[in-house]
Amino acid sequence: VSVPLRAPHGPLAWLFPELLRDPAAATADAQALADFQTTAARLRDPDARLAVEPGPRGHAVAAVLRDRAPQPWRQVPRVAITPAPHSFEGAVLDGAHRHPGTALEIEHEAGVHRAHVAPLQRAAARARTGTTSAWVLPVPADRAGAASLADAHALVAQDPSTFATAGLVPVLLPNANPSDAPRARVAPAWFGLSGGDDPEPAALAAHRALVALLYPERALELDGWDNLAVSGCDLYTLGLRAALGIDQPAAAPRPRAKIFAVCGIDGSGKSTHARALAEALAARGLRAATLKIYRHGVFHETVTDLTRRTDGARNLHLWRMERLAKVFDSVKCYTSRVAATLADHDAVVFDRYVQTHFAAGTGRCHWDPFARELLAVYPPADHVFFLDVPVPTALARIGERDARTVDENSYMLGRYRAMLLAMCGEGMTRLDGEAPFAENHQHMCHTVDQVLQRAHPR
Amino acid sequence: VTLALHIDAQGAAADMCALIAEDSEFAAAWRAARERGVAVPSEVALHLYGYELLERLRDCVARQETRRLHAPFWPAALLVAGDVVAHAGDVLASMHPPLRVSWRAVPADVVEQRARGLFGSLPFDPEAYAVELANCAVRGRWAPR
Repeated sequence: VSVPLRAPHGPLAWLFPELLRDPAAATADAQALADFQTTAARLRDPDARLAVEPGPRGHAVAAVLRDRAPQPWRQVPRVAITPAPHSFEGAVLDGAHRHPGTALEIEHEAGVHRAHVAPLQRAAARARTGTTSAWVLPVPADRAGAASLADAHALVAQDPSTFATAGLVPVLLPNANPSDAPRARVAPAWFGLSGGDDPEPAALAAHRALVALLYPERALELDGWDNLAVSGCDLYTLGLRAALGIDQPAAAPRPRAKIFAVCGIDGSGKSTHARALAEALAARGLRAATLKIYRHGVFHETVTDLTRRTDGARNLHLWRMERLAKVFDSVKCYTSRVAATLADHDAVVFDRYVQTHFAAGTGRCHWDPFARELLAVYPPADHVFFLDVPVPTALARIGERDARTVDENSYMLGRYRAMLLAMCGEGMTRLDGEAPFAENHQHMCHTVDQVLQRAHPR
Repeated sequence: VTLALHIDAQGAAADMCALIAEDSEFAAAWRAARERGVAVPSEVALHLYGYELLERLRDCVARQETRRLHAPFWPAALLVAGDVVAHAGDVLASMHPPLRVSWRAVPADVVEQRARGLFGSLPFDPEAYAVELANCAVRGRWAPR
């Protein structure tokens, strides 16, 4: 049994929706996903073989299948693809086919970047360069690497809007010579625009400048996507896994102890309120404790040093590593301390809880770097209080107590605050962090009493 | 201070300080996650191992640990064996304190057993790991032991 599968359009189409102006292409993603779901349902057939379209998109689908499928499906012969992440000529030129005469290709071959910047007819360009590219804009042979990208920049700068409107997508093709071993560090199922970290820094910088010239409003976003590519993140594959309901962990069972949490950006007064709430619970005769799931010591020092490696917009992919390390440290904290505390107390008040990780992940990375999966060990809180303070107020409070971390600036605190606000609703209450302490404390105690009353009605 | 680190999936000798053992916080956390049905890409597990080794090494520096240290796996070999093309392994390795590494070649089945004990799964190819560890040893001029 051979199940043909048309690989869907990949992340490049997400980056550049204009590549999907063609109605046929625009519907391809939806159709492919439907095909995929149908195909996935057939995986129980032990004799099924899957034929996946070669290339990075097919590779993405195959990667999902290999990871997701029941054990017999993980045998290599059952998913046949051509793993050719470094030879995707044509895929990036979809737009060129629909907008002839406006595409630009920048090749990265054997360590040399060749940007061709004088328009030629397609056939002539193919003949001259021996490539299959739809449209090639040649430059003199003595211009290479970052210099040729500078040529491209100069050409595009004459009229950027024309190129941008036409859907020009400058992509550094990593290692276009198939006889060479791949050197660029990009995920096999993903390609950013820069071709990974193989090109020399000057060429990467020149490429970044060219992208910024074409798409100034999207330059930062594209930079972020490239860093995801370099860090091995394949949001396309992850998106497929989510669409298919793969990797959804079971919710942790609720412990006997009631869980309350105080969240908020730095400087919002969480610790003071958490301690006071625990004391109030103890005054009600309950065995109460406070806990922190963000630890200090060697962990904090190490992850902070790691984070500082991103200073000056270097190694931005380390933000994901930083989030993974912080989230997993909280998982370690759960096994070493939290689980036991929940077992021998009636109520535990957390100074930050999983919501803080969720806000930090999506706030920093604009997607969730596996916090929801890994933090599934934590039971859901019975109630979360979000102490909301304006960012300037938080920064003023932080400034009064100690040195600021890399996150304690108005932009990132604003992002975290926005993420926490978005989570408020049932089970999570926003409190005005600038209100008098007694007022918020009273509100917390009232809510806690309601939760306890529901749990143990008289 | 140069730390002496022994890479050996077979296990730590009695006189060694085991950095990432099966009774460690790291392994316990993976067990708890697996019990909840948590599934993350293999590269996440391998990245976290690389970070864990870094943190434990820095902890040893802070504690002025004088014993020979032990870790079951070498992160760079894990990433190759896990077919992780894009990774932060180089950056993490660059943050290691000075190391004098020794190693022991171990059969793939032992590697697999140790990996399952540590991660609760097998996020890399144990045979590829055994090969790549030997390559790392040659490149790093590690002493066999």
